Amino acid sequence: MRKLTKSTVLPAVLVLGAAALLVVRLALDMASDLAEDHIVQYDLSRLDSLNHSINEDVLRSRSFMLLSYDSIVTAAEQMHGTCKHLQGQAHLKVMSDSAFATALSAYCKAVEEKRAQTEAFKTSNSLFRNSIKYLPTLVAKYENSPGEKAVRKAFGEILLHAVNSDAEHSAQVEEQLSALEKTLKAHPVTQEFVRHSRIILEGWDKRKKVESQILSSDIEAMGDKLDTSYDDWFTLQTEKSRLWYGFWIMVCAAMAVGLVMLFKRLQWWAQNLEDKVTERTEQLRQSQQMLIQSTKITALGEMAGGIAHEINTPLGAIMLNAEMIRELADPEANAEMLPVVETIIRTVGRISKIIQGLRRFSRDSSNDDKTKAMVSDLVNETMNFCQEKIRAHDVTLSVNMAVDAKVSCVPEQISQVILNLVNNAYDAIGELKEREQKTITLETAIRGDRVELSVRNGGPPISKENQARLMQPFFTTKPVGKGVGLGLSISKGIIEEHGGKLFYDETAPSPRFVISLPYVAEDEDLGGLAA
Amino acid sequence: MSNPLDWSKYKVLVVEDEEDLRNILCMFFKRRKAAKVMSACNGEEALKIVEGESVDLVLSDVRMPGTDGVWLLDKLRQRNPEIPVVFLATGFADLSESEAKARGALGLIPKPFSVTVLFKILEDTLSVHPGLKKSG
Repeated sequence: MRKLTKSTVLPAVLVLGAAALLVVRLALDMASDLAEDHIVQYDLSRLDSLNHSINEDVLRSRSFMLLSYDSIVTAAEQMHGTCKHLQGQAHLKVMSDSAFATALSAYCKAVEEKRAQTEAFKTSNSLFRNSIKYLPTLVAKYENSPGEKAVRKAFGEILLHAVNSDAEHSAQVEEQLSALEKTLKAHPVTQEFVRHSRIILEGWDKRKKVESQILSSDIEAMGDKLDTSYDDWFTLQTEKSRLWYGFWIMVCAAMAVGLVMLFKRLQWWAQNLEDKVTERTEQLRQSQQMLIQSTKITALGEMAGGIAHEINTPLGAIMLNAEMIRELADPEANAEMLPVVETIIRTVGRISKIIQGLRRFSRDSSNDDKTKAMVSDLVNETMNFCQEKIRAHDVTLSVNMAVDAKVSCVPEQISQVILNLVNNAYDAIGELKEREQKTITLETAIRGDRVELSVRNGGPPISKENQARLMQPFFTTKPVGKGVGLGLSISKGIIEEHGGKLFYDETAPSPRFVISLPYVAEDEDLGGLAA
Repeated sequence: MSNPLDWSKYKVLVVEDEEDLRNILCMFFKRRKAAKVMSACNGEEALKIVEGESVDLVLSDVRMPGTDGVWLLDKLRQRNPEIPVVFLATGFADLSESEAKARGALGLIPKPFSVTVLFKILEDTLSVHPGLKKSG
């Protein structure tokens, strides 16, 4: 049992351990997924906000509210870094062929472009700004010179252009600048003035172009797409992971339950086996006891046979000698002696009957032919053999042969059954204290074509539970060594072989066993039915 | 059943190894005035008597040391089949009555027996035995 417990409990514990590990692993994985999800969500929202910040700064720069372009470039740099960070996320690498990966890749490419655009935006704006700042200094150098008026006019047009330009105006300004270039060729700063003015003219267009590129970028839409695809992927991934772990946890739990059930089953088998061994051992012990009993009976039978032979001959001599005395005696002269002689003769007769009874029980009668015998003779012969024992123990024995009949039987076998029933009755009441209970009654009755012989004792009735098992082999309520529980089952077999029935009368107030045998209703013997 | 048998017409041979029983049986036959009462303690001795003397009834024990009753019966059936033989038996491991009759004996009386039973059986048997109707 101990081995069995170890061998089944260990796997059960291991499987349960595995299930517990899976649960812990699931919890850790879920926590890790959530942490990584948090990072990705943060990166995505940061990208969005940086993009907005760049666009805002670009718009602010239109009205010169922006003092430095560094914030735009820095934000673009940060967007680039965030993209790299996202692409480096371990758990996102596994989804290289997903919609999210494609979206991320396109997004990062766009960020790369935006970064280049911001660089260009910064450069062109810086030149533009520088030229606008420097132009008044150059204009001042025309003071009191012949071209002053034309220069100031051109400067005014350029400033106007810087605030609100269009292509037509730009062409007019360019014409003015070309004219100045020719007319004021001699002035030392004209070249410089024209160059800076053209920077402003061209810078404005360039700046407009880059600005629109930056602002018109569809990064925002791409970002939205990225968000959606990530959310879809994450939800799916979480679901999958939960299902997978759920499946394994269920498998482990099922295995553990299975093992526990197997263990219980094995325990049951082991217990069953133990019970069976105990039962078989008990049966074996009883068989041995029966064998011993049977050997004893056989030995007793042989001994009885020997004794009977040795006794019968001298007994015959005593009997005949006594009878000779009776013959020789003078009835008058030996009046006192004759009754003594009669006693001797009677006593020899009794001894002879006892020996005859002994013979019945010592012989193997299983192969004997059936003969016809009166029930009363069978009863009387059996009682001769056992009534001394019964009466010696203060048991009242009543034999009431109200009716009699002849049965076809092996007399030794029927006597054996009667003796068994009487002995059982004796064992049931022998130890009782109440005098009225210490009775054994044998009675006969006729029922249809059967003669019934019942053996009843005055003891308490047999319990319902025991009644059901009475005729089973090896069932006994007698103490160990007193009976092996075979008497009634053998008796039942004997009576059934005679075409009769042996049963316990459940309706009787005290224990009553009935032998029911078909009687012989042929020739004049039928007259014996009524005693 | 029938009139008392006239034993004076019978020469009886009692074969019994137990001396007390043999003597008392002889005594009963003498008191019933048998023509002659002879005794033997085994089969061989009995056969010698039968060879030298005419015998009308052999009453023999079955179990005896040396040559037993069955041996005697077989010899008699070969040599003097007309002599009636009645066995005495103890009932244990001896012959049964039917076996005894099958071998040719007229009857078998189980021991111990009362003298009344003995003579009743003998008289009943001898009265119906063919060729030996010596009774009146």
